[in-house]
Parts: sequence; C-alpha cells; structure tokens
Amino acid sequence: MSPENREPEDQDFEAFMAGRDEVSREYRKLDQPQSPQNVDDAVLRMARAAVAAPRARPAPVAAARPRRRWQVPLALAATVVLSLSALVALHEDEEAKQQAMLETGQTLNVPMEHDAAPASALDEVVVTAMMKAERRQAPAAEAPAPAAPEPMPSPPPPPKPEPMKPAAPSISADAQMSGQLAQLRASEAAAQRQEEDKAKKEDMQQSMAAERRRQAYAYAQDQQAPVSSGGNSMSKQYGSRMAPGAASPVPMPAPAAPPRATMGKSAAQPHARLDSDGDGVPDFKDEAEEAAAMAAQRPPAPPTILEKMALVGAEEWIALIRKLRDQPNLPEARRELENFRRTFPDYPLPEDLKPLLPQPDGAGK
Amino acid sequence: MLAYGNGDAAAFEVLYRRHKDPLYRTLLRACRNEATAAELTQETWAAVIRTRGTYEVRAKFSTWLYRIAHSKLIDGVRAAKIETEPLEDDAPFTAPEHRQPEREAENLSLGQRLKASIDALPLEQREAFLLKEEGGLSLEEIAEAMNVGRETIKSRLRYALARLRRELADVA
Repeated sequence: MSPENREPEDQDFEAFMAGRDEVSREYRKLDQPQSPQNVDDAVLRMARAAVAAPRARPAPVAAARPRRRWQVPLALAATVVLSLSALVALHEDEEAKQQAMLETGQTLNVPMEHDAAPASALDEVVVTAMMKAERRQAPAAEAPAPAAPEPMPSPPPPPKPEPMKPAAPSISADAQMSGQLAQLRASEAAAQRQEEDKAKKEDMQQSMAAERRRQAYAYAQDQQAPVSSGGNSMSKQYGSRMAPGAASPVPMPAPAAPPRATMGKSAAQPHARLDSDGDGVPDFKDEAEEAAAMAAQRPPAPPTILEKMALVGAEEWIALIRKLRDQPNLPEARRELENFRRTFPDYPLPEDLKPLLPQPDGAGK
Repeated sequence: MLAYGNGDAAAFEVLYRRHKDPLYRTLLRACRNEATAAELTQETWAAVIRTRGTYEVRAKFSTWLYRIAHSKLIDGVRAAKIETEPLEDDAPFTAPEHRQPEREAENLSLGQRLKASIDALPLEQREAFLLKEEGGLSLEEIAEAMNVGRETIKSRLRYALARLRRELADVA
C-alpha cells in the first residue's frame, strides 16, 4: 500500500510517530522540567557506592564453585571409608563371636563341608583358643615359662642369653652360676613347652578334622532325613554336645573310644547313599530305610575336641570323687559318682571307685 | 550499561545524564505529582543499579529503562499514590460545562492547554504518548516497555492523538 492510498488517519499517525505532527511540535515547546538535584545526587551516590562495595551476588557464586568441586570427591571418599570400616567392624565382630563360642565349648552348627577351604584356618583358630583357655586355667606356679600369650605358628625365640659382663664386685661366682642355670632351665622349659604345644596342636587339629567330617556326615544325613522326622534335628543333634557338664538327656559319648576300622568306608557312605545304584541320579526311594541303615552303620566318631575337654573334666571329676571318698565323705562321693556315670556312661570307671557304686543288696551303702 | 556493570562508575554517570530528565518528565506527567515523580525516578534508577550485574543487551537501554519505570508507575498506582481514571476511550466527558477541559483551555495559552489535555488523558494513553514523545520509543519499543501488544499501543496512541488534536483544533 502506497502512502497515497492510505487513509488520512494513518498518514496523520505516521506523521505523529515521525515527530512531524503539530501535537508533537507543540509538546516540544512545553517547558522541560529537569529531575531534582537531590534525586540526581542520591542516584549518583548510590551508583558509586554500589561499584565501590564488593559485589554481593557474583562473589558467592565464585566461592561456591570450588566448594562444589571438592564436595563430591569428599562425599565419595567418606562413603568408601565408612563402608570399609563397617565391613571391618562386622568381620572382627564375627571373629570375636566365633572365638567366644569356641572358648565356651560350643561348636558351629554350619556344616563343614560347605566351607572346606577355610577349614584349616578355623582349626587353627579353634586350637589356639583351646590352648589359650588351657593356659589360663593352668596354675601360675607350674613353670616360669617366658610370656608367650599369642600362639603363633612359629615358635617364639628362646630367651636370649645375657652377654657376658665382667662380674660386679657385689656378685659372687655362685650367683652367676645360679643365674646361668636358671636361664638354662627356663630355655629348656620353654622348648619343652613348645614341643608340648606343638603336639597338642597337632592332636587338636586331627580331632577337629574328625569332628568336621563327623558333622558333615551328620549334616548330610539330616538333609536327607524324611521331613516327618520334624523339628530342627541339627540343633537337637548338636545341641546335645553343647554342654558336656550339664545333665542333658542325651549322654556324652565315650571320650576315649578308638575309631573303628570301617571309618574310611563309612565316611564315604553319605555320598554313596545319594546315588546308590551308581547311575549318577540320586536315589530317594526308601529314604527312611536307608536312614535307618545308615544310623546302624554309622561309626563312632574319633574323639573330638569337646570330647577331649570332657575327658579332662572327667578326670578332674574322678579326682574330686576320690577326694570326697578319702575325707571321708562317702554320701557325697556316691552322689557325685552317680552324676558322673549319668554324664559319662561309657567312661571306664576306675577300680578303686567301683566299691562306691550301689550294690544290689545295698552293701555299698 | 555493560561498562557500569563491570565497575565503571563514570559510565553510569554518562548514562544517567542522558536519560534522567526525559525519564523524570515521563513520570512527572504520567503521575502528575512532583514528589511522586521524584520518588519513582529514584526507585527506577535504584533498580537499574541493583540489576547491573544481570543486564543483557537484548534491547535498547532506553526500552529497558522505561520498562522498569512502567513497573514502578504501576506499583505506585496499586499503592494509590497516583490518581487514575477508568480507561473508557469512547466515554463522553461528564464534567460540568464550565469544568470541561475545552472550556478551561480557552482561557489558557496553547502550551498550557496541551498540557491540560495531556493530563486529562487516561493513564494508559498518557503513558504511551509520553513514552513516544519523551523516550523517543517506537511502537514496538513502547509495547515492550508497557508489556502489551503493538496494536494495543497503536490504538492507545490513536485515541490520545485524536483528543489532543481536537484540543489544538478548537484553539486554532
């Protein structure tokens, strides 16, 4: 649309917007008041002050950036450290709990065949715990052995002989000789004790291996036992061994019973039972019958650590009964002997205590 | 403005001296009160100083400045600092005959009558007219400063221009 074709209003409006209109011209002729001086001063003062003062807004942004940079790595590091420390604490707690259970005479209910790899390490822990417990119970005056509380695999070094020094004027030659003799005796006692510890350790490790085999055998049988047998048969089976000194309904097995010759064959029996026909498919028929046969064929286990502990306890108990008999306190001795027989029914009773047993005709009373 | 945002106080002084009087006159003739105009002027420039760090060159500085001034003016109206009239473009003058601007303007000079006619305009038309005459803004810039559409501003300016011309024609 050309300017000629536009309406007069549009042309007037365009002239007004261009400043060519009469209204615009008359408006520019009006007085032109200026902003008050106090406003000018205030605004300029404000502007200078704003520039002179530290900029409030950008400063926090600049300070926040580096904080954001180290916040994330710090948080990650703290998370890793806390996680590791929690794991270590849990691991130590588990170890302490196991050691405490072993020292109090409890056995693990976990079948040993499931964790065969750490079995030797567990044996080591158990044996050392047992030895520590025995040492604590041993009388202090037994031997002046050097302090070796930690049962390390390597024997502790023998006490170093003191280098020869010129004798002091106040010490005689006899005193020197007696000192050397004492050192010699101490080193001999230490060596002897180490040999004893080593023998005990080997013995206990063998016992632990046997116990582990036995628990694996029992566990396998428990897993394959019919459901109708009910209850936690594991806990029942092992629970009877937990407190050898208590008057439990299940008597303690004979501690010194020798292993039979069928041990090797019977140990392999659980695995053979799973696949009796040898076709590689587990045979689950007549499980009750097989379980009964297994129970009949189950060999008596070799003495375990707990059984050995019980043996030590039995010997001490026998000594107590003898002491009661010799006081003489025969009623008490007989009562203790009856308790002993209930607890250790298979323990061979010494001949000198047999007269204390109740006679059929009441002669012993 | 960018130089002032970077800490150059002298740049602000140049800017201020260029725009201070047109801004003041716009606000003075919009609100018709010197004290309120001075207060709104100071508040407008204070807002410019506060937001110097976030200023971006998206339009002319004058457009941005008058947009801030428009906000302050609306705040003043809401706070009842400024008297305004209902925006009824086609409403006839209802004042008594002797009080009507035309009759009052007959006894005044041309400039005085124009000023009285401007004061008699509704606020929206008055402000649009002042932004054009004092700020030198285009239609689009006035629309952006007043946050309305271009055609709305064009309509407001047409009405304002028609009234003012009528005043001047009567005199002529």
